Amino acid sequence: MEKSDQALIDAILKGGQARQQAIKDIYHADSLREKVVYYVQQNKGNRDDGLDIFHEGIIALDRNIREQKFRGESRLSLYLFATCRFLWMNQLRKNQKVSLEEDHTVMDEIQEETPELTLITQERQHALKNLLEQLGERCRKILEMWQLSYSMEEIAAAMGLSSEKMARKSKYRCQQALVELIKQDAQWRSNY
Amino acid sequence: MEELYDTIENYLQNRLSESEKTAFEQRIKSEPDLATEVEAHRTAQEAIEFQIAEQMRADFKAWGASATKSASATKGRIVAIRRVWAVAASVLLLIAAVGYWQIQQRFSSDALANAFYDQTELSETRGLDTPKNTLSEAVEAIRNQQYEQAIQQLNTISDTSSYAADAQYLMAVAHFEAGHPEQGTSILQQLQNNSDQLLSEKADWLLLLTYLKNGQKTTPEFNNLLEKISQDSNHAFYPKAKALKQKLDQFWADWAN
Repeated sequence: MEKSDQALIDAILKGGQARQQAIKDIYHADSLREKVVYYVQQNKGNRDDGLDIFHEGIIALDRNIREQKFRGESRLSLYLFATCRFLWMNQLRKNQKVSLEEDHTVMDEIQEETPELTLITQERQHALKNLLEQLGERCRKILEMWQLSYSMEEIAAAMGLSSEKMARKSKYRCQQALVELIKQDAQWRSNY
Repeated sequence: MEELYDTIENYLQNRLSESEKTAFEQRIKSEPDLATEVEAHRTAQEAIEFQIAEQMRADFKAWGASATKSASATKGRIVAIRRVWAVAASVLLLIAAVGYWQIQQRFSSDALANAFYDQTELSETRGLDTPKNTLSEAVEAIRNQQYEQAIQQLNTISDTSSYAADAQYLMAVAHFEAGHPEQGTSILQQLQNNSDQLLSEKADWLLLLTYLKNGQKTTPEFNNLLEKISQDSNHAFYPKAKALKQKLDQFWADWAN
């Protein structure tokens, strides 16, 4: 990655277009991507598996930075690699009943921060997808932009709203609609 | 209601102060409706994060496709240009080949190592002023390119001899000149810590040339050692290291092995 770790972290935390560019920079880190692909290929996977894991690793990295779970105790590239390795071992374990313990020797070789990952089951993913579909595309986009720290001005421009005030109002309505959908759905109600 | 939403959001994203957090958690415990509301918001955030992840997957797919498209478009253009310029390219290729050969001659790691190696330093070996001894015989053998013989003679010098370190250095020289410099690497690394400053600096320099001859000019070992010598104006090989650094910094050096 050509930009410094701090520049990438700052951009992700800043959100909006800065974050989008930082994600693009990480995505285009060819040597790191190839390292992940090589690791997966050496561990019962193929190139496509490796690329998928690299992408999932970036998604996890982005979220952990935004949620301040990445504490900056190791290089970003090492952290991303460790995340990808963990994700792949987890997938192997799910698919082939391979124990995560098998990878401990490799995990111990590199001193890095242990990635904290939120893994959700396929069933839950399916339920979340249903929920978002009911919410509608416009609201999905507004809430996504809000969560990613786009300014109200940027949200208004992207969604064709007349003012920041309108954007704020739309964001609240969408949030309210999503929460109501959750409260009305028996499946989600059973969670609490 | 909007205010409550903001508070819940700040609570879930850990943006409340400790006292605000404690107070809010007390309210959650005592107000079941609020607890339900908070859990619904928690699920809502999970859904939004899922939406973000889905959007990122779509972005990656688009970026990947655009990279492939751009690569194949470039490939198509190259094929067309190649046809038109086939003859001209052949001529250019010939010129480039001659140029590359010249660059290899001037900048290849092996050529540079040989250019910066100086056999006259052998005459600075200690003990050569005494008439006919094993050390001087080994030096003579090296000068006559009888490296195996030199190594055998040097092996007879005891570790306790006052010239043991010099014998080790000559052993590395023999390996270097014989074309298997890697066999002298560990010897030279030990000699770098020798109390005889000149000998340790000679070991520094020969080790640097050994790395170079082995094609390790991009390794940290080589670069750190080159930095060390070229930044120490008191080092016996400071001028040579500066000259080597200058040569390696030339643009064309990157094109040679």
